[in-house]
Amino acid sequence: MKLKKRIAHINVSRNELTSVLKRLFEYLSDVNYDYGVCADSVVWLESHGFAGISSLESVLECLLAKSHVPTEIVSGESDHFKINAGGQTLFAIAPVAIDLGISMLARSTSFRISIENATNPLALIPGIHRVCVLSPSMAAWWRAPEEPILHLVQSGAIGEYPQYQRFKLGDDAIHSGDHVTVICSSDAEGFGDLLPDTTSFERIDCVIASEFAERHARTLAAGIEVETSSFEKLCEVADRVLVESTDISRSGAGE
Amino acid sequence: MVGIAHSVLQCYDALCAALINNDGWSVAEFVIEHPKYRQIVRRVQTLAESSYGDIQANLLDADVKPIHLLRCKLSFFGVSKFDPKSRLWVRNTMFQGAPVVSDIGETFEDDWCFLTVPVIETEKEDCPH
Repeated sequence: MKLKKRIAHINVSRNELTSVLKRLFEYLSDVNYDYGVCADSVVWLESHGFAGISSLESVLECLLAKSHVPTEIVSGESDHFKINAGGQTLFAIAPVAIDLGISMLARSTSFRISIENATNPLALIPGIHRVCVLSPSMAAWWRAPEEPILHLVQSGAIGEYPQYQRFKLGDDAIHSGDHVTVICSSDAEGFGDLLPDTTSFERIDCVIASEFAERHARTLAAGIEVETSSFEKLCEVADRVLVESTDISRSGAGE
Repeated sequence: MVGIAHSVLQCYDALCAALINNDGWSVAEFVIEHPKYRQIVRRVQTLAESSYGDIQANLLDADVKPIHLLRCKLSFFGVSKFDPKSRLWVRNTMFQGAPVVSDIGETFEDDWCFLTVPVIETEKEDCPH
């Protein structure tokens, strides 16, 4: 009889995980990103029932290679920008894309951003939650690259959590899997016909605002459960940002 | 982020260079192509109007010690008398002259929050801090 291998887990607090991830992103990016926001996005996902750490691990080797291409605005019209993310993670690009969407509402009542060649689209969920405290309505959708699933996240009432849905696409679905679309609107009535038509798709998952709040409350009380090997790997990378302990590095440091 | 002034200068230079070919860019458009500056841009946008919003010193300078920042922070907490013991720690006095329990109900001058002129009993070694 073959024994199933048990995977060891460790329970960490939000603060502990945030601290490790901030150091990790600082090392990975050479301060090329707003590493605090990157870390917060991963922790947000983990503390709201999404696999933030797994998502980060899926691109960790690529990030460690530090071989990404700079983000580029491919085309910019008054109501639609196309951005080539150069293979970078949306943990880094989502915050600036969302900033862009909000700022462009000064010129137009609605604005669309198409982001090509980016990874970790889940990072858009915490980004959209962050702007839910403001008035603009925001939504994003993308197709999972390896399966016919459409992900849709859209803001709700001001100050509330967004809503996240997944739809199973039909075999004849034409939605491209190589880009993410972000839309924002200053119209209080909502997005109008800006959202994709999902009426013919089967909805397979829906997380409403109140469920997000419940998940967050549970995490605050119980901590975040992480695979021990994953956490150790993250800590190992995070510690690379530390300098060697020498007389010079210790001087004036409060020893 | 320690090198605030250095980061601001780098951001300013990059912004000037970017505007040569992209006249009329918004800050958001600049940051999309230069996400490394998002953090310092946010800091500038948030604190530019606040005189005491940032430390006005070059924190990368070898002569700047953490204790300088500690004294600054302590002053915000109400410390008005500092007695540096070394370059690594400082003894301080908070709320000196504030009314104590026995003063309640008694008449007292309500100006204790202002500094009093120190009485120096013996000449001490000059301390730069």
